[in-house]
Amino acid sequence: MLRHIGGRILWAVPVLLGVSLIVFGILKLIPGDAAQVMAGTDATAADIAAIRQQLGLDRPVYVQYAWWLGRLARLDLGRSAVTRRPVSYEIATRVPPTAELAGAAMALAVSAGFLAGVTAATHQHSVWDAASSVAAALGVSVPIFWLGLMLMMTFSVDLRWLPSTGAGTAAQLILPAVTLGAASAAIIARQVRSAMLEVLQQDYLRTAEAKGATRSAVVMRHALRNAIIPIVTVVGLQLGYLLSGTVLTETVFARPGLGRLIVDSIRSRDIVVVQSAVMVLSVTFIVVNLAVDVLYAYLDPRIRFD
Amino acid sequence: MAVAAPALSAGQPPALRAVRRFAHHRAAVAGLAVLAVAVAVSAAAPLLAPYNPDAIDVINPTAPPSLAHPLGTDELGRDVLSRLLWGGRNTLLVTGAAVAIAFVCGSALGVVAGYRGGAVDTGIMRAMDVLLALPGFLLAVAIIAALGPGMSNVIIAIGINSIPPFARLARGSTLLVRGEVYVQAARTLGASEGLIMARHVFPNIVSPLVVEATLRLATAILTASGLSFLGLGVQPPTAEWGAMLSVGRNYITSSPQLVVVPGAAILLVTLAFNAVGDGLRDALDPRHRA
Repeated sequence: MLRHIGGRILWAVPVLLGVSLIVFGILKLIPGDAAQVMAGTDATAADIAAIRQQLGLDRPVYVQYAWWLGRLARLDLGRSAVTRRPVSYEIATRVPPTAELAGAAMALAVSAGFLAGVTAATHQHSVWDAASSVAAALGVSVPIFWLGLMLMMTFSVDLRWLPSTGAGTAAQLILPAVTLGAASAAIIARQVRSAMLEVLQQDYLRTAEAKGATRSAVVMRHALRNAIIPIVTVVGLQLGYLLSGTVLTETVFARPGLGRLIVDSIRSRDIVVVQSAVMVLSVTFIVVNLAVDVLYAYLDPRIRFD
Repeated sequence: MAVAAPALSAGQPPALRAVRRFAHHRAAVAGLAVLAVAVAVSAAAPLLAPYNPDAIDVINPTAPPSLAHPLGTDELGRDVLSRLLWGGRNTLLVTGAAVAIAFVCGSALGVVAGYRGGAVDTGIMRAMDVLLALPGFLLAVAIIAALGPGMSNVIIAIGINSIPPFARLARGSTLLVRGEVYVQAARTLGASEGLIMARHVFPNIVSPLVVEATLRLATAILTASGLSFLGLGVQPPTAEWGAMLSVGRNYITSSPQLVVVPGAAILLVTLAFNAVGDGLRDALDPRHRA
């Protein structure tokens, strides 16, 4: 078990390095560098060269990469070329709305997905089963930004029940969380349904029922517990989707989160901010996947002795 | 789990059996019909569109649906129906081209990795792991940040972004057929490695890759329209469904059809891609049936 976990953690190191190389490399391709953006439009070539030297942009690329990695490790990310505030400040202020949104969407996706999946499996071929598979098909196919706009049109513009933009209050979180969580709820529901259907056919469930356990005890205690492993994997994978989805959701609902920071910074060519924010989201994704792997080993005793 | 009926179907060629199984999948057949119509209508956009999609009519902006403009006009008075038809052309083109790139590159990398093994395998697959470690849409956004917006860059971004699943699938399938007798026979006859991979390995692993490609089309169209929605994809005035939505959202209270129409088109086509993909998977790989 410990060896398995240790192996997974060690494996994350080259992946993180690879990701940092991609993020650094991709953003090096952007025409024009931070010095140009910082200097403004009416700077002379000498001004730009001076800033470039100050930022170390005149050094060879591999030196810049090493420096960047070193600063990344110390969380000293430099300053935004546009606002001149430290990048760590820019990012820190944007994390709470994004964390809140991803967390709420995940909670919603897991609860709705389990409810729909378990109902569909225990009432196979019923109306509930049919309804949940139609909902799941729609959920995975709907463009997230369009779903957001449709919900906004209905609940903010027509019914005036919920605010359409901003962040901070619970009411402002509802529509974005539903928007972001819908596709994941659909995928989780499908996975829960098929995992449950498989488990429900097992002999030990018939045994439990024969021994007089109630239907709900059989489903909750015996079936769901054994179906949980494939479900955990899917839930873990959804986090990557949710983190990417914040980019679109935050744009639709004008939430001041990390996703919108990335889009805005791309538009203003604030490369340092884009690099750092993309790294933060990617590292989160990798760490969560690592945690899911470890959890998986904990939940499935068969993996421990690999 | 469906039990195959060997007595009746054993004499049929496998292709015919697959077609029959596909035909029994109602959602998949409906999806195929939707796609056929979408592709035909988009291809025929120059003939079918009642107006030039870029023709501005400043006197009639954001007009509601009428006889002259069945889906109304947008903020510059352009005919929404015409833009929808031309937009379908661009949206489907971007989606198809991106998945084609991923299919070709991913399959090639996967077959080579699986067939050659060793350091080549490790190198290719570790690179794929790193690509997969970046959340998908974010990778596309980062690539666009580097290349700049525009239709061809969106195709490249989504193409690169979609390579890893094809590579993994192709590698796994190649490992299964690598030891088959027909591959050994080809090797004994002196066929070159490239020829064996292209003529003997690839044709025998192509069906799961086709299924993956169909399902990837659904992801790709959502990514492409999402990038355009953010202003990072196809640029105005080019008609594209995501870009139409992006502008339309500014008129969400006064002209909701500017948001509803292009989004519904994306939803319908995505549903169709997913349904056809599911149907193909059931038809080509009965073991996978849910």
